Amino acid sequence: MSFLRVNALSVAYGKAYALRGVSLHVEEGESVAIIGPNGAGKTTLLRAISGLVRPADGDIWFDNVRLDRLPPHEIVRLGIAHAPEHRRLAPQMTVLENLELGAYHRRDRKAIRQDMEHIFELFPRLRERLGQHAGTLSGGEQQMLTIARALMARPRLLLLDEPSLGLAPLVKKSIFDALARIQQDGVTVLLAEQDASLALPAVSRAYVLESGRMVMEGPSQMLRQNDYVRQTYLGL
Amino acid sequence: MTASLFFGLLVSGVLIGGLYALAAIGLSLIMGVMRVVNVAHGALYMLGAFFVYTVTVQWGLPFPIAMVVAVAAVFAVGVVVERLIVRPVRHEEVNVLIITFAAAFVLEELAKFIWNPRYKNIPPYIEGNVSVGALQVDQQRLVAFLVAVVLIGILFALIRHTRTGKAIRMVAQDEEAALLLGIHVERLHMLTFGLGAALAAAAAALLGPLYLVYPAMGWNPLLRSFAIVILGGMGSLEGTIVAGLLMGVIEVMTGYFISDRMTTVATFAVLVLIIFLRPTGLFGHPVEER
Repeated sequence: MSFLRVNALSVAYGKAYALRGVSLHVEEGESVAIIGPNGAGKTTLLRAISGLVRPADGDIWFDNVRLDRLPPHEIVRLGIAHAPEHRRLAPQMTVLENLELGAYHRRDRKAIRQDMEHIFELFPRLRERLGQHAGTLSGGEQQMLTIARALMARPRLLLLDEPSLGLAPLVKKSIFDALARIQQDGVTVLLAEQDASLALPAVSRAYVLESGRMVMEGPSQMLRQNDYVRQTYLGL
Repeated sequence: MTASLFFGLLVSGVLIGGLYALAAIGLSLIMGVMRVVNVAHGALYMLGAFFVYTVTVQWGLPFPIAMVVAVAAVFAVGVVVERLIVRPVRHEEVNVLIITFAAAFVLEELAKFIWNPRYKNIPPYIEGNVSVGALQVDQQRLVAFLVAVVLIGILFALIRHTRTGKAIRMVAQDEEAALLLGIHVERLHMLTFGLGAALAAAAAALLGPLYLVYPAMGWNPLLRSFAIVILGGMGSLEGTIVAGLLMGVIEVMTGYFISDRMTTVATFAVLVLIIFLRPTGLFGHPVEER
């Protein structure tokens, strides 16, 4: 049984299907990307895993627990943290408070403090901004905080939605450098990203999602050499 | 007009304004966190006054006990109201408006049934005056004001510094993101609604001896609380406090210079003016687009 398994998942918003029969699996310790154009259903897939949308059909399993009927707050407790698209921080709260909220469901104060120290090593900029309101941070800093907040939950599976959205190339690179170190720490990562040239080198396997359907999957090395992927997503 | 008269009116406006702020802050909290308008806020205020009446007049117990009982009981009523009728329709703002309006009438009829429709008095809990400088101030009003200040201070401390308070602020700023952090949003909504109701009851208790107690007594404070919340800026608790004090001063000045009967008209005038001229209120931000 896979760590995370999505079976024939369909999600509908009213009569419009955002996902149709999508299947996917992620093994423990692995990093997997979902690439595809805007509106393909990547965000919907991650939202279904987190319990924010209810599937019309299909099921989702994490570590032998069925997720698709659980409320979001219970899914977080199972060890899944979701760094959502558009960051979704509390703009009028400080960086420190946002980080504390990341650890909301945890009670192990000492370990929380250690994790925060570890996060400051990963994102030193956040330590400098600790007392500042999240809404006053730059886009890159906000993205760092979003990932850091998710890590404060000490997740076993990290869902990352469009971490590079709207960022300058250099900032994108620093985000993906941090991602590499998060993977080294043993966190399993499922990444949804439009920018395939960034996403594919960062993961071992990837899926291509188009118009709500999985059209391709395989080791990222292989996808990077695939003609269709090269032309459509890598612009080569 | 002499300076000392003006100062006297100002002080008595601020003293009553602190209680207006306490009465309105629960409404403001519910609006800010849940984005709904609780029209039953005045009815919950009324229930608070009736509980104080029962415990003090009917049971003969001291006022502080009555206040604690009233606050706790109305908290519970608020929680039940949220769970039973607000939660199912919460995503339709207009439905919340209508259903809490209906709930206000039901609570009012229940009050007529349980007690009776006749006017009642709550005896003063402290008598006598104290001098503040050259000014004679009703001791009860001063104590009520100070208790209101302490209660508002406690509310702020809870929201700023406790884990639950931070979670409530997160829910206010981004409900869905709060869910992704493992926050049980529905439970916090229930708590927030109960807290808002309890604050109304606290204000009603402290103001109890100053006004008559009767089943329809909640509508006037409801209108005033709306005016205060809008004047202060929706979702801003700080704004609600400043607006509450301001409203106290406006009412006292209107009462002195025009007529006691015109104070509600003045409240309404402020409400209309602020909606026309500055709909975001004194401290409000325009709704942020995501």
